[in-house]
Amino acid sequence: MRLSRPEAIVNYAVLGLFALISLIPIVGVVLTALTPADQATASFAIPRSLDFGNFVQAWNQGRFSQYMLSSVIVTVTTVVVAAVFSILAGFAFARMRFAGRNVLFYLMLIGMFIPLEAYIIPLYFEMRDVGLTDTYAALILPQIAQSVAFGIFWMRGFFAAIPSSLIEAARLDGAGDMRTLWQVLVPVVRPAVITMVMLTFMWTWNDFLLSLVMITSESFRTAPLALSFFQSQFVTQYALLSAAATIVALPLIILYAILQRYFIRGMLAGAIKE
Amino acid sequence: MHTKHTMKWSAALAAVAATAMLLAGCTPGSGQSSSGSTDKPTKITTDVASLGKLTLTVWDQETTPGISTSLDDLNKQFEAKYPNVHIDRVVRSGSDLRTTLKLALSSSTPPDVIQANQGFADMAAYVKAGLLTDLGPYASRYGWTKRFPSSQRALDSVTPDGSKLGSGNLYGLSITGEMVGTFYNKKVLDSVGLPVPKSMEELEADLPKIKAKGILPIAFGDQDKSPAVHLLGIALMPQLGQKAASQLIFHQAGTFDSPSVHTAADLLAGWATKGYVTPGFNGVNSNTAATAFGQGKAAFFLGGVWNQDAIQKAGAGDSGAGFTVLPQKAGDPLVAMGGVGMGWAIPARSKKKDAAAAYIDFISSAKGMTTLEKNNQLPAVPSADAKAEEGTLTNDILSTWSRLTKDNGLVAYMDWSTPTFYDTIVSNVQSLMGGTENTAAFTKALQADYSGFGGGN
Amino acid sequence: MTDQARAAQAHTSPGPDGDGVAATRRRPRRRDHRAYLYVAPAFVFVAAFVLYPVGQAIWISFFRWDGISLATWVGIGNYVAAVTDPALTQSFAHVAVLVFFYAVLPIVIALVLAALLQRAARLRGAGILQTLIFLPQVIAAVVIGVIWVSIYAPDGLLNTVLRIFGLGVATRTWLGDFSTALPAVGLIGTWVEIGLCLVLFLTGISQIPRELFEAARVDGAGFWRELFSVTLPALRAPLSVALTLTVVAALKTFDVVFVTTGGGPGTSTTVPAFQVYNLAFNQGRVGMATTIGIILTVLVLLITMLIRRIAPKDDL
Repeated sequence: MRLSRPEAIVNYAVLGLFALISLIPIVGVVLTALTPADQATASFAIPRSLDFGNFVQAWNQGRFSQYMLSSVIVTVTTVVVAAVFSILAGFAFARMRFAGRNVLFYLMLIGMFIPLEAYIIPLYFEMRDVGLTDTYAALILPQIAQSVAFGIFWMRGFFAAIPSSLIEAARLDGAGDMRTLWQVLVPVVRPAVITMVMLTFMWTWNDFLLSLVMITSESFRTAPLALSFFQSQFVTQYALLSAAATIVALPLIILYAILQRYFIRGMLAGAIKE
Repeated sequence: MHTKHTMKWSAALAAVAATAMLLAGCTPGSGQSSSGSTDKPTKITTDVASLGKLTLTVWDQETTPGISTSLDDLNKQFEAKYPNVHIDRVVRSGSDLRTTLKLALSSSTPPDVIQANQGFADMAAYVKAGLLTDLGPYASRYGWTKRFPSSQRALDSVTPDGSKLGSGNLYGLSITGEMVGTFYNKKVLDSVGLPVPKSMEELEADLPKIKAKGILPIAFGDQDKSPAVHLLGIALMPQLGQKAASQLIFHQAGTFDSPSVHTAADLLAGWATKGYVTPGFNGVNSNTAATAFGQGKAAFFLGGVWNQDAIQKAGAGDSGAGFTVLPQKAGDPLVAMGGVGMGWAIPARSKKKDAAAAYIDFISSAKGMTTLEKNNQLPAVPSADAKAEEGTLTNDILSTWSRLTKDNGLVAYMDWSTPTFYDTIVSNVQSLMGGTENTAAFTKALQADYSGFGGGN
Repeated sequence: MTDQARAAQAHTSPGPDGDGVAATRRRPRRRDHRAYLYVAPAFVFVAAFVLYPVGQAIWISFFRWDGISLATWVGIGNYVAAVTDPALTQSFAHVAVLVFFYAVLPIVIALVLAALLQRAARLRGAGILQTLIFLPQVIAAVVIGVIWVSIYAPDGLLNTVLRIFGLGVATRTWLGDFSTALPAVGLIGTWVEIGLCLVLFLTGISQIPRELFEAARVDGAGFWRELFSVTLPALRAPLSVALTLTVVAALKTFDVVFVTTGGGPGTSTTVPAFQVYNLAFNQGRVGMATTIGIILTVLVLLITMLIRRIAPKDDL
């Protein structure tokens, strides 16, 4: 389709403007992070010389090496455990009949619909009573709970859509339930699993409220939480702050760059669903 | 969602709620052991070397460079003295510390040494919940009672039920002195041809003259909240005088809906509308404001002595700036908000109390005091030979401090008055100066919070 | 974005109302007790770390409690205070403003952008634009907050740009000014959510038969007529998804407020989720904080249901 010339120009201008608006903050923060600390200001500028010193400083003196490790431990554990449990339960809800199935399923749904804000306070006291506050468990356990609530729902839909013939065929080959599930069905729904893993990874990595409430000591502090503390401590050290912010965001940006299809598809599931 | 499902949903939700409530069953808070008196240490060891290898977790909020360096320095000395002890120092900004401390204290593995803000919101609340160790036995054992005057120790004392400040048991030990007052930039005042003001009235008269020369009269930023409390103190204390102010803060007499508070509020609102303070102050960090002042971009900086280091490093140097506390009228007795820094305390659930006490003893010793002085900090008890050169900022601060303590001119921080007063004062000062609240609404809001809290009961 | 999309997504992914139930009906009738073993691990987690604390939250909301000493029963006192005390109700008013910035504004902007992209069908780099504009969705809200704090700083990008264009008078500390702090926070949300809406709408548009656009253009339809007569009607489903996701995101705003303003100046940017945290862990008003959390949850559930109600039934 051809557009009239003036309209095409306006189109490009508007689209270009919004592309700029969406890009500038992100590019700007990376540039600031690469600016020598004494030249950096709040308004982004193209650095005259590149300086990776800010990253080194945030990583070492800023202890972001440690915070990133905490985030990795929490996120990876959560994602792996939640994925296994979600697949198991999602399969059962989709493919098995048992008393109380609906009740159990709706209870799981509650876990997904109720925002953390509703129960973060009792959750904190619950954790404190069993002496788990300020441990990785205080983050991992609730994160798994939230992730499986979503994961079961997600996986159940995909398992239910698999033609029964596939399962029958596997059974005829003598495969048990477990083998059918992991060796036949999971490969079939692999994209769905990847999407689920990406989403839970993102939610867990980016969590702030849970860490803010549960974690007090430095040794278990996750990267986003550390960044917010870092910010109130070094308000005006823009280069250092930007480097820290970049470090925290980087893992997801890389993942997104590689797996953007899964991200976008997952987050927009509704619209894409046939 | 189909209606059918919605109903199942509600039913499921109701079922969950009912079950959990049954499981919960009891009144929140009833499961905890909370009594302040059981936390007295029984047997005290002062011989840290005999305690074996241990890590002492210390939480403080001293992010300002001068005092932070002092602590790093002292920690190193302590570790050198006791090689079996490793100190894990955790620093976070004041507001971050406030939020996480309450959570940490009640956990089963709290830090071993903390800094507790005095007042009903923090120290008294911790004491009420039995979360702090009574330091009395350590105080007599280590001789802290001789080291610090009773007036200072009173500021770290709370009755065991948390209902009264200023008496009861000792729950903290403060190593720095603090006061809030007026910094002036000598060069800027000279350039305008003004002498150092001797009273609030003179200061007030100077502001338009400075402004007329195109110079910012007062550098001020309260994005980090607490400066709002300090600024109100600077305006209010001289009007009340030490006695009335103290009585007001400790709920003995007075109200926040009084002419003095009105006048102070009018003063602050006027400064904001007339452009005497940093533009956009509600979004400016106090450290940024102190730096701007040190660089000579403003004539005055109103704030606490802990800003000294930032001011000097920004360019004012040792003698570019001066410090004073202004009475209402020249010659009136001096009065200033301040007292002591946060109290170093030992969480009741710490398992290394003896080592923690030894640490507090160490940083509050004469060696601690000189280390603080070396880093431009005001120690709670300046050492006898703490003599700074005439004309330096350090000298101004030391001499003002000794005059204030001698004349009994110190008043506790206003936000100690109620558990929520800090937030109330900050948000209302920001609203008042931001022009969204008038003086009447301001005093009413403060008084509502103040009178809603009977004083720890 | 943190976990805010979880609930909203659930509405829209394959679920019990759709293929799931239909498929299960074809299953053999036998009851399989091993199923409990499959479900148990997940259920234990949800029960212990969601359902139980949710029940507790309802219980605690009937008490006045400082979190450390014994609580006092106050019945529905907290709920009454939450809807009458101006200090508490204002956070709900603020969040209503945020809904405009997080939901309405990005949806309108994204609609226009999507329509522009659609008309310029052969626009080069449209795919890249989509990818980039979606990026803020995957970045932690804390990081986004840190970035925007420096944009809004007194000597930050925004003021610098204004000065370059000779608008020096308009400069201010955006996050410290009573009149601009809340919109400034809101615009961060707009920036984040545009990408989500845009991608949703582009996907929707790609499913519109091209003939419809051709026909409209043969009729001489310009940009706006095409938008209102062809594009918009076909986008009802993605619109309801976008609305659900963005409104929920707005209601649950916490991280960004915590990092950028801390509720200030004054109380001009307090939002319910921030109050939950602040009342419970700063002011020791645990019962009240829990109550606000529950009210917030009810609001989230009600609004998502409402949006679902008015959305077209056929495509969900």
